[in-house]
Amino acid sequence: MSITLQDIHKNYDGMPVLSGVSLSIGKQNFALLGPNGAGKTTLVSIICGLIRADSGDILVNGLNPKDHLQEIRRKIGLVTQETEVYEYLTAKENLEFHARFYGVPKAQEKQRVQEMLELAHLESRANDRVGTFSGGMKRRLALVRAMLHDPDILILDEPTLGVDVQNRNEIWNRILDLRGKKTVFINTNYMDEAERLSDLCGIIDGGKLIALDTAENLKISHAHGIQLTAVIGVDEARAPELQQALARYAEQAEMRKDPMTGLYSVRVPAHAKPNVLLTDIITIFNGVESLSVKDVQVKVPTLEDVFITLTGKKLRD
Amino acid sequence: MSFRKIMSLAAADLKMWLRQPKLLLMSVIPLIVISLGVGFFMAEVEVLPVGVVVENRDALSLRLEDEIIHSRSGSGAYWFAATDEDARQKYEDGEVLGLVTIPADLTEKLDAGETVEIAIEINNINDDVTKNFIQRMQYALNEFNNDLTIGSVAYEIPRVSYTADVTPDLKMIKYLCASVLGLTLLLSAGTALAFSIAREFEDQTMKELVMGSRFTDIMLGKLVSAAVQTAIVALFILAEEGLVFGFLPANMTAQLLYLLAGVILSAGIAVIVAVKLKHVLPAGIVVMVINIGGWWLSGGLAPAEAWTGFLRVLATYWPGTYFYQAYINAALLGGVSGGLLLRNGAIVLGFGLLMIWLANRFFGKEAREA
Repeated sequence: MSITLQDIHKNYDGMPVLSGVSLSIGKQNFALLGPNGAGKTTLVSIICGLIRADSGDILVNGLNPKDHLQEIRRKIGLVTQETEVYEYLTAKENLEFHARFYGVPKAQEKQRVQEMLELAHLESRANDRVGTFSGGMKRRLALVRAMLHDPDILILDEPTLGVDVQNRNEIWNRILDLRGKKTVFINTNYMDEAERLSDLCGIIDGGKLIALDTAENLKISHAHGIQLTAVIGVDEARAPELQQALARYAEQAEMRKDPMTGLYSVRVPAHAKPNVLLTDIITIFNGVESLSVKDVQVKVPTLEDVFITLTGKKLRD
Repeated sequence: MSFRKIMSLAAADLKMWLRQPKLLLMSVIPLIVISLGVGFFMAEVEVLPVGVVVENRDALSLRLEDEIIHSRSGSGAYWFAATDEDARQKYEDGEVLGLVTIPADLTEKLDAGETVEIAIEINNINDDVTKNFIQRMQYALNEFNNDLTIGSVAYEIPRVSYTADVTPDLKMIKYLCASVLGLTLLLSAGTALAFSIAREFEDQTMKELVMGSRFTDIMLGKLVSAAVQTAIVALFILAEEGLVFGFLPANMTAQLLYLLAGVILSAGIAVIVAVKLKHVLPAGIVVMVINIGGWWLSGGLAPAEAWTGFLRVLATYWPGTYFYQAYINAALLGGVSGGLLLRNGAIVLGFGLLMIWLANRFFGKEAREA
């Protein structure tokens, strides 16, 4: 269960849509975060063999789409941006059709359809036409339909686009259930979605993959990392000792005295996890006699901050 | 190719069609309107082809031939000189609707003072034309008889008369009922496919299909569904024609064969239109215009052989002409000659399969990028 892309290029009418995208995903949840038009859907279409890359190498489960297109497609469950379910068929009929069309063995068909209806919490609406469903219910149906033929790879293009919070949580839970069991490729422009669902997160902009790491590491590595700010009271004689200790911990640590209040403002940027940073700094503070902490905050950057740092623009610009 | 996939797609497609009454109505109503419309306001037929065969090309025979072909009276037929074998074959195939044979012993009998009988065979496909045809023969023979002086010999009148062998009276409405049934087969198959494929694009369900199967399976699934839809619509039209006009095709078994040919002939064009337009309504309208226009050109209101000039040329090159020629003759007479069936079948299936092949290529490209 893997997807490997090496130096993928794709142009439309001379306009580059993908420029040298390389990445490798194993049995994990991968989120590709980027604004609309960044090239996310094009990349998914190339992986599914719906369109061809102009250059570069693709391997899906070790197979090249040029030579093994049908075999690769059978291994993929795709949920596209649009909720593409047949509105004049019932939920059950939609799943039955998919089961037959995607080669689920006849003996397993009934059981798989029932399982998927239960997974989507649609058992009670199984025999209702999908046209009568809400957008969220259709999305849940589309998700379980893609899982019906038990594919190795699940590709979800904007899985919660236009879905209410309750349905979004339902869909997220289903995706989280798959963690570590399948290769899940999620295209999204929702930061919280990427953060919550992914083991590995890529950021794409203008057709280029500009960052690739865990969401946590991206936040630590970019957007000036995590930052602790504190307001403290400390004897003037002890202040240099504290400043040295902070500088040893983080080179860019700053400590300034407010002449009005006589208190010190401390700012410690660091590439560490928030709880680790907080524990470390409190330990340093405890090592200084007569120090009193008036206020302390740890600012954790979001993926939006990461995106702004990397591209100089907001995700939804 | 997977039979299970093809049949599951066809079944899903049919369910969706049957659950959308507007689609069923859109398929049936235009045909009923056309059927009733042309039935109640019958078309005028101006010209039909008649072959003139001269068995012995002596001076008198050639003069009689000239009188018939170049007579100023009558406009109901296009007369042309033909060999006996050629004319007979065309007459049997339905391409020539009248046959005049000037016998080999014309001069001999006239010299002997006997009355000569000219044999006329008429496929009475249209009352007006038949009357016009006979009137013209009378006029031509009168002209011939009035001035029957060859060399120094003056013959008395009348010396030439004719006997007409007219097929049983066929009312125009029967022809129109048969032609509308032919249209039903082509139009229903075309619109069924156009609606079905355009809907996949419109509802953005195409990727689901493309990811699950090969294009050939998708095309075949859609074709099976279209064939069943066509059969259902044809049953409606058959019932309407039976009830209103008392018409039933002469050979019901052959209808299945023509249904299949109709689906093959109209499928490719319909699929190309649908994948290019990607929306149900415009695709349906374009397919209707093509099929109804093609029906009119191909012999919908009168045999295509009745056209003259540019329309005649156009009809000759339009494959629908060969479908309607065989279908209408089969529906009216119960069958057509093997030669005609072979030739027309080859044209219809050849063109249809070529268009399906082209459509498959277009379909693949557009569906992947949908």
